[in-house]
Amino acid sequence: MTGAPCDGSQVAREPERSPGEAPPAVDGDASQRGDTPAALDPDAARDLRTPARWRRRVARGAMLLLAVQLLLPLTYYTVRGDPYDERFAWRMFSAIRLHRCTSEAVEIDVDGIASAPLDLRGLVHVGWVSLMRRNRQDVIEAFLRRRCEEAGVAAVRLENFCESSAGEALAPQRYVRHCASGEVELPAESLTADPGELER
Amino acid sequence: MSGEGLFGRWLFGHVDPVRPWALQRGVLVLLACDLVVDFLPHGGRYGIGAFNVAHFAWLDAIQPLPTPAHYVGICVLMAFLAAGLAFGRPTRAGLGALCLLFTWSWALSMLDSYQHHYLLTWVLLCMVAFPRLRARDLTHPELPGSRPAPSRDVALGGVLLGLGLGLGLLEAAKAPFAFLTLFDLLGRGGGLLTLLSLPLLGALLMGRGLREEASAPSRPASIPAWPLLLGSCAVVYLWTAVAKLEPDWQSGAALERLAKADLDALAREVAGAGLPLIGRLDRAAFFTQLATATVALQLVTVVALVAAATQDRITSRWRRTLVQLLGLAPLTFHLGAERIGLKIGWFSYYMLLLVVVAFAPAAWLRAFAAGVARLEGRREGAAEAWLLVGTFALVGAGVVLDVPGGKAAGMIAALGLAASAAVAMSRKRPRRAGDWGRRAVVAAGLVTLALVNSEARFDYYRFVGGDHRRRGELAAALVAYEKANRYNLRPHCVTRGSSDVECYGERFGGEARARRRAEALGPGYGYRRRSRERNEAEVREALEARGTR
Repeated sequence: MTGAPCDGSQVAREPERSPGEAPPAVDGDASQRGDTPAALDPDAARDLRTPARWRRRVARGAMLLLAVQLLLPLTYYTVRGDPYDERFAWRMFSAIRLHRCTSEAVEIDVDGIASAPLDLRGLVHVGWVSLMRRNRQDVIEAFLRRRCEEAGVAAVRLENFCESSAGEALAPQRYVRHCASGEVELPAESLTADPGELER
Repeated sequence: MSGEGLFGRWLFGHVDPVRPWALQRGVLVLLACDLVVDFLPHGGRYGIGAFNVAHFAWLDAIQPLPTPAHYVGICVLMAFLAAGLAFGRPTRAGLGALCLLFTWSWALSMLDSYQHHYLLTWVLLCMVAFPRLRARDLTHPELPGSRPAPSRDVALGGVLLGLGLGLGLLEAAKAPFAFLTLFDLLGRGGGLLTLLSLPLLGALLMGRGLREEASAPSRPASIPAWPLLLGSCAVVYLWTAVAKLEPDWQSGAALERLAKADLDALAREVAGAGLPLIGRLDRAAFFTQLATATVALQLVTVVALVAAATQDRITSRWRRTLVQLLGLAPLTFHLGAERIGLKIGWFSYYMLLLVVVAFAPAAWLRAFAAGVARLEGRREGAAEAWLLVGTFALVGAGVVLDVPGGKAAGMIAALGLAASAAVAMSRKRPRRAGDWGRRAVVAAGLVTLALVNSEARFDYYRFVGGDHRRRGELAAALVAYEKANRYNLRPHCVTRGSSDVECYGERFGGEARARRRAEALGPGYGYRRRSRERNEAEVREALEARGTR
């Protein structure tokens, strides 16, 4: 580290001393006592100057960062296509977040016979059960994949029965994984934010 | 600056360096406490049943399956790092490492779905580019944006005002982690008196000195990371407002579902007696109007945050006052969010801190900084001695915390301290090495204090106990319940329905106080002893019946 900051101005380097040496002649507190102030740490001084030649790069970087932050939530409304995946979209306490759902999962054997509903809380942590109830597709798919690893399971089905924040029943969200092919059936009807469209 | 356009003027305009200094310190201290008080209790759920889904598929492919010890260890390590960076001149490498570790801590599993954790990544990233300042630098004549040091009275007044406002905000927000101790110690009357007298005394001490100090000339300082941070926060409020334009929110139904006791009571009051200026509103109309007002408040917050970046270069007093008044919008919003008990972690506390730092007159913050500079004081002692003490403090704290991964975190932090010291020594900067040792001592102390004085370990072990019990792992459940009961600090709770409203410790007649408080609050409130003693007994009995323990 040199004493000269990027913009060419001179900044004195903070004196360093060994433990046994006498205290420095100047210290940061001296400025507060009205004495001669200590030399300013070069890092501190340099950080408060943006040389002209750096400004354009800094401005471009800042603009890019803000653009990313502005555009990322926009993908929720345009390209993502999963109304329940509200991550990175700043939709805290949105109407969809307040849907209340119950989950039911069954395993289907090779004869097409469905098992009794699985005890989800006994299989994975209750935190994952909450996420599945919220129709978090990635989690549901990982869960279905995991259950397909069990012997004798031909397919796994998980259904969420939800109501809107106004208490209206919504179409069940059904996810099915066929273990042999790995094919996953997702809910047939994509939810939109319009409660009129949500009703059946 | 001509030719840079509006964005350039906004980005490179003068900012008083005290603002990024204050926010950086505040966020680092808050984060250190948040990590052990609010993150840590949920660590027991990671990797249970060998199941995990990361926020990004590529992360699942490269990272090992997280475990409770893994997650909790990262939290404790980050807490040490954040606290160490807070009490001295931070380094870019340290801030960068904190930002990376923090981002990984939420990205590694969808179990962490708090959106404000993602915002904190942006905040920490901006802070990497903040000037590396200590409090005493702010009065150095060579520093751009510096001003002369205020008098001792002003500095003391600043500290008292800061303390008073901070405690007041926490109380207004019903912070669960603070203030119980103050009320425990001083009682309700004493607590309130302290709350009122601290800022008043501070303001009196600051008096005229502030005005003189504020009018002193200073060279402009350009800190582009500051407006960038405010702009990043403004983006959050913009999109949050957009999300609330949907019919379910606008109808008030979503807000009504969110409403807790306080808001319910207000709705009843407005429907019954009515409020001044507003008059009477039926319940549905009340929630509809409140929903619209929330969106308006968030849109004003967007404007306020963008404008706050320009505050220090505004020469017109009334325009500056107008910008400061805009700060009331986010202040109202977050105090309201905390009053109605939204489950948003410590998001409001970070935002309340931001509001105070971004909108308060810079002279107030400088008075506070001057007080901190005096506390920093002259620090003597051999670097080697401080490094030794710092190493023992970190390793010792890791053991004392008694959480999975705590010991490993203490060891890794101690190794990090040794590495930092070795680098400083190799550059012949022994004072800097000694400073790292001192900061390690403070960090270990703060993290330990925050954890042992909170409900974090009680929550962690009761959650773990519950989960083991659900899956029939009774021996592990018993161990967890035993620890939960050992770390239950505030078992006497005032309840409303099935929720605990506030809880008191055994000291200072906690049980009697909780009962009195429940009676004072009236119908609907009650008292209960909150513990896992019954669960522990049941599990022990089941184990004995099995004869397996």
